[in-house]
This record gives sequence, C-alpha cells and structure tokens, in this order.
Amino acid sequence: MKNAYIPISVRVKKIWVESDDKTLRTFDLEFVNEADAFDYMPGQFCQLSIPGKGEAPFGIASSPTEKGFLRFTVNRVRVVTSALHHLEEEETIGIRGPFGNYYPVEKFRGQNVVIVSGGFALTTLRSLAVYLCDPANRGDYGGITLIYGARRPGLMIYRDELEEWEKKDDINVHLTIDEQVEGWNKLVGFVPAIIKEIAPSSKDSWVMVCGPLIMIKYTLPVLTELGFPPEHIYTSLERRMKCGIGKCGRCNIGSKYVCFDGPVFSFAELEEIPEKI
Amino acid sequence: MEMDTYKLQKGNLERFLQKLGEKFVVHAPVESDGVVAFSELMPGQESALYFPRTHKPPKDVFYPQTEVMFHYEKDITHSAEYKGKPIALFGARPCDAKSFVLLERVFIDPKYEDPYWAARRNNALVFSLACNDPLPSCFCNWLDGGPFSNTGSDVLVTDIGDAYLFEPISENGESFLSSVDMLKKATKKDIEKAQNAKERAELSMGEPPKLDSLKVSLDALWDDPLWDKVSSKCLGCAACTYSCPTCYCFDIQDESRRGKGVRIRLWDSCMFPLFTKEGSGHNPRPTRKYRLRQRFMHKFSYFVEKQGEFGCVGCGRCVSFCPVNIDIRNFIIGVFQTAQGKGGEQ
Repeated sequence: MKNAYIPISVRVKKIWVESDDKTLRTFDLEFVNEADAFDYMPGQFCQLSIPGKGEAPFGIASSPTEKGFLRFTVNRVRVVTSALHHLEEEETIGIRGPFGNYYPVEKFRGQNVVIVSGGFALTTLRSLAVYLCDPANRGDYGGITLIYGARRPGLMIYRDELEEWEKKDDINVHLTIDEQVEGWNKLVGFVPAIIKEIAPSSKDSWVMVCGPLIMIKYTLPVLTELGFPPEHIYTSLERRMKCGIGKCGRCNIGSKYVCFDGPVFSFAELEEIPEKI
Repeated sequence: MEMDTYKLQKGNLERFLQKLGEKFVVHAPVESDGVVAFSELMPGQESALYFPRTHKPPKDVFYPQTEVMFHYEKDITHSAEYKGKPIALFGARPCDAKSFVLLERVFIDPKYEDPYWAARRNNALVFSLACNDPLPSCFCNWLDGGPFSNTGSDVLVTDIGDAYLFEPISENGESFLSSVDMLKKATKKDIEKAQNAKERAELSMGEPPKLDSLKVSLDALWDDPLWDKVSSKCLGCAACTYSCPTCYCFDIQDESRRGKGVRIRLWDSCMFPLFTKEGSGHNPRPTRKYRLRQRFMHKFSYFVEKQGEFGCVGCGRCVSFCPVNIDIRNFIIGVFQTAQGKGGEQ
C-alpha cells in the first residue's frame, strides 16, 4: 500500500482571481509526472501541501470528465491559504488525495438533480454539474437545476462559466444576489426564498446543498415543504482536518469522520448523529 | 497446539535481554528522574520491571510522541519510515498490550495503512508482564481485560518469586522462546504458583460492573446535564489523553529552514480548543464540556461503533494523573445511575 501522507508534485498551470474582493483565487494544477495522475469523483477533496507551511483540505472543483487539470478555489484565511495565494504559475506544490466519498451519482440515474449553493461553496458542486452535463453522462439523468446565490455579483464564483450555462438547455441555472445592484438583471433574494419561488418538484428528485450554515439552516425547511425526504437531501461538510484518511482523529461528527465517511452526507444520516453540524 | 511454558531464573534476566537484543531493539520500562517510561534498553542498563504501571504508556514505542514523516528539499521528499531492527517490548502490562490491538485497528484499516505505525509494529515481539498486584486505580477487568490477560501479547511473563515464567501466546513468541537455551521448561509447581498469583490478583480487583448497556445509555444522554457536572472541574490540561495508551489523535506540522525541512506528526489532544478550531474562527467544540464529552463518547460509543469494542483498556492512568480527580470509573457509574433514573421517570 502506498504512503498516503506523502504529497505528489503538481504544477500550477493557471491562476486567476475569482472574486472582486480578491480573497478567492482559482488554481488549475497539472501533475508533474503523468504517472501520478489519479481518478476521482465529484465531491471528493484533496490536501494541498506547501512545504514549510503545511497542508489544508479543498474540495475538487474540476470534474473527472475534464482532462488535464485539477481545479481548486481557495479562500485566503491563514497560513497555508495565504501561501497558496502567493503562488505563481509554473510553481510546483504537493497534493494528497483524492479523499472521502462523493455525491451519490449512481442513485441519481434516471432522476432529477437540484443543486443548491451559496457563496464559495460551489466548488465541488461545479464538479458535479459538469460531470452530470458531460455528453457521455447527460442522457443518464433527468432535469438538472442549479440555484446559486452570492451576496453580490462580484462574489459569485465561476461567473463567466455560469452565464454560459444559462444559455444551454441541458441545465436550468438560477443566479441570485442578496440585494439589487445596478446592472444586475437576474434574481434577487436569499437562496431559500428563491427555491420557494422556483419550487423544483421533489418527484424523483435529489438535492445537493452546500453553502454557509445559515443558508443550509433556512433551506432545509423549504425543501421539506416541497416534499424532499431527508434521504434525498445531501450536503458536504467541512471540519478542521489533518490526515485526510480517518486516523488523526479530529474531524469527527459523532462516530463519523468527515474525511473518511464523508464529506458527503444525507440529512437522513446526519439526523442520526447527535453532534451538531 | 499446546505450547510449553518456560522458566527463567531472575538472575539470568540480563543475559536473556542481551540475547533478545541480538535480533531486536529491546524497549523496557526505565526509571529516569522519577518517571518510569519505556525506552531502548542500553547494555548494562537496569529495567524497572518492579514498577507496577509505567507513567507513560508504551504506545510511543510504536507511535512516537514526535515523529518525522518525511524530509523535503524543494520538491523532493524522502519518507522517514522506521528502518531499524524489529522491536521487542519487554515488560508491557496486559492493559498496554491490549492497547496495541485497539491502535492497530485505527492505524491499519482496509483502505489506508499507516506506514509509520506498520514499520515499527510489524515483526515486533511483545512480552507482557502479568500484574500480581493491580493498583487501586486499575480497572482492566471492567473492559474484558484482566491482570493476567494475554490479548496483544506474544509472550506472557509472570513473576513467581525467584523466577519468571514465560508463556508463549503467539507462534512468533514460541519460536523465539524455543531458540533460547537458558530457558528451562517450567514444572507443574511453577505453573501452579503462577495460577495462584493470577487468582489472587483477579480477586483483589473485585467484581466489575457489566458495561453491556454503556453505549446505549451514553447515546441517550447526549444532552444530559451530566456533562456539565462532570466537565465543570476539567482544566483541559490533557493529562488524560497523553497518559492514555489508546488515545491516538495526532497533529501534523512542518518545520523548515531555507527550503529544507521536515513534516512531523505529534500527539495531539481533543482536550485542546485548537484541536477542532477552524480557519474561520468557528469551533464546533467550543467549551471543555464539548471536549470532555468527545473524549468519553469516543472511548465508549464511537469506538464501539467503528471498531466493535470499547476504546479503553482500563489502565487507570487518567484516574491517577487527572489533577482535579475526574475518575472515569465514577463517570461510568454515574451514566448508569442517570440512565436508570431517567428510565424510572418515564
């Protein structure tokens, strides 16, 4: 068995600033040695490693159907994320993974998928949307709806791409901001209110919801009202992590390790755990 | 296959350990500055076998408190897995020997193997020393253990006065013992002496409470005021976790200078606020109540769910070392009483 603690070398292929407050940057990485390339699924995460600074976990934002790069969007918070923000193209860093489980795409076959997201939590859900909409997969699924909100347009990540998706007919995209600003001609309002308005059918449907806790808190009752059972509502959790492989002991919620048993959980599973998310 | 029990006169112990040292790096309890802990036994150094329970558990022999995972220079990494001779642990107590079985389940699972643990633990021999005189804080018999339990041991050693009896438990233990000329076969009388010591020791520990319903009771008491009560005097010092043979949580840190450095791992503790504090400042376990509940739930509920048995061997170190006398045995009894009280009210 290979040593899962040793990072693999990846080169920074491309970097861009993702938000107008400059706290979010997106990185496309490529393997230095093609032989190190790994398979992954939407919802899995990696540890990005900068020698001397440490590691931090990030959800993979690219889809396995996109070849030649791994995408991550990083919010600058402290040591490791600041170091990541200081990287330049062509520099190399370390990566470990992919870790954790993934969105249950097998269960979605022949069914509708509603993707709900807020802020910069869109990362692994972008991976999912791209995966589901890939020509090789699209026929396996019913309707795909994306409802995505940000405080203001400048904080909306992957915006150019989302506006491209708005023009496509294989995904229904609904973009919203908290309050009206000049030049915005899409939806206005908090994500839970927008879901209520759009009222996606819960029949043969699954919801993936990722965002700030406060958004999730107010979204769940709306989804329940629309008839989604907790078994059909999934989220991806975050916790402070170190090892990524269920050994260092810190990311548990009850008996589940977010890194190993998650990060993707259904609300039916979470209801069984007394420790709060 | 019935394996022979051997006997070693106490005067020959040093020679036996030398013999063991030919094939193995021998770790044994050693006293230094009033602290007894396991360390590599140097030629001529005396082991503190007389000491009932080492202050520090022997987990650090297989899982060092601080350990280099790999060295790096720019992009090149060199893994630093243990490459020394196989390790022999001499004089671990039965509770500590059992802890290796529990730790093994964490470090080696079907999906991920911890190579640092495996490099030390594989091919190791564990000689555990039975406890003729269990301490008042010992409670291994609550947890399917006992002062003469052989779980996790390759050889069970018993002090019978002028000699040690060596009972092989595993085939590796037997194959080593049978290769040592200075060992004699034990007589029926020797084995009787050991049997008597065992009965005495077990009797001295009293009748243990049954813990079959502990997990269910604990799970039902998640929000009970019991946690406020038991945690109110906790200082969050982590003496319990550092002295615990089954606590395994670790941190990973980098140390570097001018592009060169090491990534290390260190024992960490769920008793510290930083253990779970996130980059955003949010802490899912904000107070000592949450953190103490995590430790106790981990041992007696989560570990059961994941690994099929309690994550505690009843060594009693946390009972002895807690500076404010939080006694995990009283806590367990308290859980049963509270659960019963609740049942009565319904």
